[in-house]
Amino acid sequence: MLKRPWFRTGALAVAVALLLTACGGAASSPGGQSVGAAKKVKLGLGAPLTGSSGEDGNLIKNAVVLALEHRKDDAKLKDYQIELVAEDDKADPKEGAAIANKFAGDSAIFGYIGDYNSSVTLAAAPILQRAGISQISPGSSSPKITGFSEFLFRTQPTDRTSGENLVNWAQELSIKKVAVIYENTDYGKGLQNVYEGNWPKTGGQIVTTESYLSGQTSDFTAIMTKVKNAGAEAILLGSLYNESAAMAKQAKQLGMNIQFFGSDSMYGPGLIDLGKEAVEGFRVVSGMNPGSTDPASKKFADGFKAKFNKEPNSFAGQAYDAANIFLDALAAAGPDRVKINKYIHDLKDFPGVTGKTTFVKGDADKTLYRFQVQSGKFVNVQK
Amino acid sequence: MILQQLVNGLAVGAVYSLIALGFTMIYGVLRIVNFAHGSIYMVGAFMGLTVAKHLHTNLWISITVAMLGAAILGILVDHVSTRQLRSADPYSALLSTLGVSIALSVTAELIWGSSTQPFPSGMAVHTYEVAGVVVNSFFLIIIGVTLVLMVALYLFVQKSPLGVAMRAVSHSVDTARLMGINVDMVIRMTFAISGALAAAGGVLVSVYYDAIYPSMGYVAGLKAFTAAVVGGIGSIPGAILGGFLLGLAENFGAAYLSSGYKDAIAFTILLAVLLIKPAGLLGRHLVQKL
Repeated sequence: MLKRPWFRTGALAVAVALLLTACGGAASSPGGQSVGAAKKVKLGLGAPLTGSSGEDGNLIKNAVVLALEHRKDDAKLKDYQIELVAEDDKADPKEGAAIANKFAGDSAIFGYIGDYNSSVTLAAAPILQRAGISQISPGSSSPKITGFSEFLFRTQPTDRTSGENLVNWAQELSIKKVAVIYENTDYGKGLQNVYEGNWPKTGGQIVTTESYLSGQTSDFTAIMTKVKNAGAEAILLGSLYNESAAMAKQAKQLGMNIQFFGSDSMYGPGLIDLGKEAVEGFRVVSGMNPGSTDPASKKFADGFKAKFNKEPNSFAGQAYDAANIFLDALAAAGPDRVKINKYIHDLKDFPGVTGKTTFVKGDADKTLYRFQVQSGKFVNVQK
Repeated sequence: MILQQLVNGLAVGAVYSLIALGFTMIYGVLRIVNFAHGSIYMVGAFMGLTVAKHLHTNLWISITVAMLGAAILGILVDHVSTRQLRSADPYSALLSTLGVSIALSVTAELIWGSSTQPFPSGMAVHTYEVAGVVVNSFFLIIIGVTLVLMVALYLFVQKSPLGVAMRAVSHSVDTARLMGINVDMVIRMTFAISGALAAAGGVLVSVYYDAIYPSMGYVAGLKAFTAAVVGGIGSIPGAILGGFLLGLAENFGAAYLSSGYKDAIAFTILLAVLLIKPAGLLGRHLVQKL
């Protein structure tokens, strides 16, 4: 009476499927309609609102909500009733493509803010491009995004500049042997390439390169033990804050005293909340201006804290700027996707909360600042 | 480095074993794979977190409350997802547990948020170094608690009347029922024990890494399921063996092959075992009777 074979086949199928899940694909869809003058317009947003990147995704969404609220009484936008359509991309390229397809078919969408993870941004980009929708990513830093299409922009600095800055920084501290640890995504691999391309030029040596699956790894002891035995003095990271905090803690538990270098994605309260004393001395570069005193930045930071009871991180700042760029474009060019795209291309020195933005090949060249965690706080440092 | 990786692997393996036990016990009595098990592990850990944060930051109280809470949750999962499907095709029950798993994960994100949080243990971490191998106090706690729970489970299954009833049901549901065993009660108890073991593993892992997040149940569930199948699903010693084997294989694989293939290693072992010894390492091979 016992039926066993169904189980065996089932388990085999599950196992095979698991080995194959690494590949995601972008779906394709026809599109390309122009939008007429309509009072009701929609701003699309795609970000990971749930899952392990959910924290950053919600900060991005909240920043856009805040931008719309701050511009509510803007006289230049009085002809439009702007609705924010926020979708959860779950940090999954397949979801990102599905959201892009949904927006491509909605003629009221005049712009798209998203996505956060580089892999998701790159999956959504070709679909949005065919539909003629301009896309501004507030969080994707992979060098692959540079010049990807006429419709893809980002307010987030590229990892090419962040990675080079980190490499120089480690060199200035006379570090010779480094380990590179990256998550197996477009973001992680982008930084890995920058590190591997630039570190040897400093005369230093990469003693080991390790990767892991983002969002599915909590045990880094195997990697850290390897790094320890390879004799690295510092770790150059291509990872997100939660996993970086885990690495720092596990390194400390293994009795290691090693220096960490990371990019923009670690600048925020999350790293310190999770890593506590283990992330003391952690070094990051970020586009967030520490000494910014201009009223717009203050209005953003104070407004964010008052409304959401949370400190904004740099992604929130990037998203706030992206939303304002779209709102300026809408005010100046109307809800016409072609005109909005041209407006963004022609934009010169847009004054935002994360510095001035001019897009060259979709990238905004921004000043990066160096920070180190000292006594549980990010402190702006030169060295 | 070999010894250090051995220590690293044992900690992970111990937790895989605790979760794998739940898969194997439920499979033993019901012949279904409970895909909600990983979610019960995660929700159990979050119950422990809630206690630690709001009531008392004592690890032992957190573990006890988490185990009790997850035991009740286990019974509820059985009540809503598999009880009505006892006589149905096993596929239906399996899909039903998958649905419960998704519901639990989403609910956990709504209650506790989706971000990674620290887990206050209320304990200072002591690090010991023996012959170049670094061991910390949480590692000793993981191994200690796992061994105590395994011995308790063994005594329960082998010596207690309920344990005997459980083994009888696992052998044959109909005969057990004819002998006057309350089969539904036994199944409920099995879900409760499985949930409690998983929650203990969940709290231990969260404390060990000082990190807890709602998506942790997904991967842990898959790994533990793999461990249970590798050891021979339905076999309690098999689940323990499979868990430790998988934990060690992953760590040694990451150390000597590549860390990027850590997860692929686990599932490659699963494929190899299924092809060579389909019943699992310690599984009984049942002859199909028609």
